[in-house]
Amino acid sequence: MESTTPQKDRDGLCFFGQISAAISHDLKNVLAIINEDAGLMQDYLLMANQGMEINPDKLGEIAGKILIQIKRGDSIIKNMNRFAHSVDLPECEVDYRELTLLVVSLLTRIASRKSVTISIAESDPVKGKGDPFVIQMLIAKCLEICIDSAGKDNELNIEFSNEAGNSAIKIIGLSNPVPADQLSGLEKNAVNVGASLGFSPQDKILIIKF
Amino acid sequence: MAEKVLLVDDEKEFVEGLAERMELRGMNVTACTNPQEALDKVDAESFDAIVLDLQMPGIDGIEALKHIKKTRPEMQVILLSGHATVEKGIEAMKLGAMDFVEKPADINVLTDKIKKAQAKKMIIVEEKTKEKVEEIIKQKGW
Repeated sequence: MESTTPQKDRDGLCFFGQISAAISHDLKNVLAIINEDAGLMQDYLLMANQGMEINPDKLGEIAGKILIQIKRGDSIIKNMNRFAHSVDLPECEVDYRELTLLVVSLLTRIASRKSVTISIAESDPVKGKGDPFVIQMLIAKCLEICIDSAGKDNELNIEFSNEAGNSAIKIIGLSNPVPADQLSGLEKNAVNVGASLGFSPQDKILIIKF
Repeated sequence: MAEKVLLVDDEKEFVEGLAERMELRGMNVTACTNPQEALDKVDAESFDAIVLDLQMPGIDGIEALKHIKKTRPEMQVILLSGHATVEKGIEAMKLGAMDFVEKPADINVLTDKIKKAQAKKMIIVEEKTKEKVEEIIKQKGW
């Protein structure tokens, strides 16, 4: 049965929620590290007030760690901002590589919880027209299933191609077969985005074609 | 007596900062960023309190908690999370966690909970020792 519009809206909302939850978790970790480092600095200053000598290098080291976390937090928020703005236009020119890079950054925590690493091949921009939000949703759903298929301590590689107006994202490194129900769910999602899927179990590859 | 604490979180910088602050407060801290390594340490030695992150690669906090409560029920677990949901907290408490703390944690609150964990563990160990002694006395018929 075809997805109804309310169901599509709900799927989109769930995806937005899932990504927002992952972002909030990452930001909480950044704040937790800053909290400990700032607290440590305060501990040392309290001890200095009581007459203990503080090594300036130690304070410099802690301040450096705080600055690193601020940069990390800033990059998470930049990604969050780009993701939030991806709902602005229902159709525009998109760069599939850029969108994939963003999705992979947003899914890093999910992949790392399952001990899977994702690498992205160098390539020129791979451009086309489409709805950035639903394209990201399709890439994310495909990646999540591929992460499960790759299994613990394995690596997924992503490659791009753009030939004769056809753009493709190739996810390489699947280990276990993708369950049929998941694959048909993905295919429905792909149709909604105006894309198609190719799955090659023997080559352990999933291809999204736009 | 210094509290013996095992601190487990995959965020290395977080573990290092918190461990140093705990040590400045007189605690004896073992820090660990790998959950499997943490479980091996739990099997090998005793801790007054285990401060455990809820979400880690490979083994999550709930799984680790189940393992600890099965193998070393006297050890007290305080779960830490940046993803505090009521459901996870309730699940953790049902599984035997002593407490649940949201990140970023207040060091004074955490220290207080660790001291309570040490006291609770001592009571459990004392009771166990008493039971053992009573069992030996019964068997020997003294």
